[in-house]
Amino acid sequence: MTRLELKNHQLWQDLTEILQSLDANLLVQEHLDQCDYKVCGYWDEQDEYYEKITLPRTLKAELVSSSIGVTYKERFLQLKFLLIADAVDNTKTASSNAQKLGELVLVYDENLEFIDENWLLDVDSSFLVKLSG
Amino acid sequence: MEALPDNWADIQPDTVYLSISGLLVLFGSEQIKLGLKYDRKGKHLKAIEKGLVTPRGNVGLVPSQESGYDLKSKVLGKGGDRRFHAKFIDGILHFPGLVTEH
Repeated sequence: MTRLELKNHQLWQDLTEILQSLDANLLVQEHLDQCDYKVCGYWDEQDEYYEKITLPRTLKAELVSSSIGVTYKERFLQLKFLLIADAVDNTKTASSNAQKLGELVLVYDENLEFIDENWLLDVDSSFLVKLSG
Repeated sequence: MEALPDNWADIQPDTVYLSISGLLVLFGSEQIKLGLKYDRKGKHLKAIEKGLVTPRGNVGLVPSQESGYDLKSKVLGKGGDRRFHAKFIDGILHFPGLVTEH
């Protein structure tokens, strides 16, 4: 019963409208530019620390999920992007080798002001330049 | 002034420590408990040592959006799903024990 009521709730319409009016590509591009394609301080899955990881400039970011969170005192927007390195192979024209580099999660407040981020990178990727710490 | 330890087990509550970046920091017992629970590798302590950084693409201390708080410690990658919030009181950065997910 509850499920049926929720399914038809105005909430979904409102969420869809908010997400449609967002330019997620612009937000992720702004983020990558402002951090100059560098992550300064990163812990991998083995708890290894990297002082700096440089991402390729050919990076593409694809929005994979967007969600709105509500706590008892704030509302926030969370966007998750898939990071893809698109390396064009010059020896074979028109062929490219896209590789997933990881994920980037961005959190914004109700005014679309940046609040926080998290990166989940594939440190074994040859597209990343790593400096161990 | 004592240097900031690199693990939570060595931190005494309400004791002022000097971080590498020159910040005076202090932890409440609740914060130490949360540190022991969520930050076994002392990643947040390393972030606190690093001091104030710009909020994008950096591990370290960044502005907190929580009302009444000034800074939060930020870890990226594994363990990067929590933030520890702190406020300045008489020039000392206090971590009373507020943890959030951003």
